[in-house]
Amino acid sequence: MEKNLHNESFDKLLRSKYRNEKVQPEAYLWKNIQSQLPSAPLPVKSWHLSKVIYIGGSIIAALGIAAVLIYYFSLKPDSVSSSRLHSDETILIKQPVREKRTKNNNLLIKTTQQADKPAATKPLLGKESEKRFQLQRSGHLSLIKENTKNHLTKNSIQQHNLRKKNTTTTSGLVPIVSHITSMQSLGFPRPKITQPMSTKWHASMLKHKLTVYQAVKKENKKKKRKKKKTYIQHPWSLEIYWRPEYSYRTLASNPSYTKDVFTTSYFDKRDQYKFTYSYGLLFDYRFLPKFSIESGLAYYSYELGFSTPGTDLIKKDNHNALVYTSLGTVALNIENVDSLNTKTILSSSIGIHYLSLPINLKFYPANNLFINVGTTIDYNFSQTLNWEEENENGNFNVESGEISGINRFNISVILGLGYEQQILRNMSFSINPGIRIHLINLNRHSTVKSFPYHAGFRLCLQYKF
Amino acid sequence: MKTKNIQRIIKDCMHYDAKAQQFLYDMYAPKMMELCLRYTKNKNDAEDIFQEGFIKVFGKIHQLKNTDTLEWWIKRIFINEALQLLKQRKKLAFVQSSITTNLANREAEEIIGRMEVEEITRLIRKLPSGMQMVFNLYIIEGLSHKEIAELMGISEGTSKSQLHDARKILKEKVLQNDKINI
Repeated sequence: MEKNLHNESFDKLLRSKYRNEKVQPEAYLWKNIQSQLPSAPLPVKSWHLSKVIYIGGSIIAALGIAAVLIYYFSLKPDSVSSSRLHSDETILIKQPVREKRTKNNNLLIKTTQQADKPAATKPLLGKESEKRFQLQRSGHLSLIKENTKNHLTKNSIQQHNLRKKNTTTTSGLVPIVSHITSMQSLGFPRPKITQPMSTKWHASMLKHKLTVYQAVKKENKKKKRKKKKTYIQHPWSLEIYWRPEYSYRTLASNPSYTKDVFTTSYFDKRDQYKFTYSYGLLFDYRFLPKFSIESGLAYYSYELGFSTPGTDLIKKDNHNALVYTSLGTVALNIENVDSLNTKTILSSSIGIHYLSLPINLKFYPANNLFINVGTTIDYNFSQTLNWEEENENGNFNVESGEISGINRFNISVILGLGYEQQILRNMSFSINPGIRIHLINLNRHSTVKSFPYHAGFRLCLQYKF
Repeated sequence: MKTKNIQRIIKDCMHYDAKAQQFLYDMYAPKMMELCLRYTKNKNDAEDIFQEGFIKVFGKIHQLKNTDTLEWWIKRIFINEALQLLKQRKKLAFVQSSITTNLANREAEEIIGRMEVEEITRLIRKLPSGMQMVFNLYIIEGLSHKEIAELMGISEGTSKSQLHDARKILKEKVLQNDKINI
């Protein structure tokens, strides 16, 4: 017991002596170490700002495009309906006028060319108002003539003579002017009558026209509302998708790296396509009959195959080596690096995993067909490297760290075509082949610039609510 | 140094940033040099381990998962290097000692208390390689016998007996050293 206690105090004493003990190494040691360290890539431009510009710019551009499209397409139906609403009236106003004189009373009546022609479009009216409009179109002149005749026969000759004398005066129309002005302020066209007529008759005529106009307007509004309801019964829908796809990349030389051995052709010989899957849960909003926008959360991974002979490794010591891939540099820990030769092939499946936020605009040119264009903001949350080695002398145990310098964020664009088929009352299924292209270089520290792309088809179940 | 700064330095080291590497080197080089001297028999070996150790540190820094344990992680690399060097040269021997010391416990502590660390290190380096390793790992680094056994690939019993003998021999050497100095 006493011995143990003594040992303990002896140990403590020694430990305390060494607690802050330091020995300054010789200066040449650092130079030796430095010369053997992996070469650092040349300094690259600060990417933080460019990243912010990329992400911010893409979001603003996407929102801008969406806003413009929404604004444009939400205006279009209104303008169409308003032109329909005033179709008859507009024609009547705009067409050149011609003059006609009645045989009996030499009254000057102005009418339009359109008045003699059949209607080009069917007005959106009720029975009564339609009848009135037909009258307007086909017999505006005859109606006025008829009414004038009736009026003349009913009134005294004195009244008739008086009116005859006053053909050029407008005194008889004065009380109606305010009425006309109020009608014009409502968008009702100015009547084409220059003939002074019975004030009472004219007022009733205009009043009736106003009533008809209001009825038409009301009816159109109703129809419009009804139309909207029938077009987009389920504006919201929830989508779940699964997308098998092939991943590969395009390479470009990195001007900040000068080593000749790591050219794009070096990697083109060694990189292989990989097959992978992506998944997502999205909300879709049909904001117009032919347009919808979808967004949500998705997962996908960029997979790349890579193989290299053992002699291409940059050996650091007996256990450590560096291997250069198109995605970046990987540090390897191998039992015996020196035993690797040209017959040893090291291959790896490299996976870069992303969580992404897609914003996708779908356009439906036909009933079941759609075109989709979108962007995704991708967050790289992990990577996997599975090394395998083939050697005639047996397998080695290869361990590797992660590829350093992979950008945390990336942005990609999606383009595709799709076919949607309703399978149940509230459920539809769609198949959507397309491509996704990364816009930002995957690793700023890599010897080459790598821009991945994925080609596949999305199988999607859509629940409408 | 703030943890954020350390994290930043490590991140930059992962990208082979020369300035960050030098910063990390300057931070830990004196401590590691002392460690290397303690685990080896001569200065040349110590410097070999020192160099190889730092090359490994910078080569494997991306494997570091917790920055709080950075110092211990670096130490482990250097200890492994020292162990490998001994194994490669087949100099790692676990010998039994028959020395019996007459030095009283309190007396030993008094002498060690007076001694410079460099002198103690010089005496530790004179221990047989197996004992030297176990002594350093147990007493200075504070590892348990189980951990030492796993690290060195020996049994816990061997570790204990080596430590026991190392203490005895060191005390004897301390006494001899004290007599010479007197």
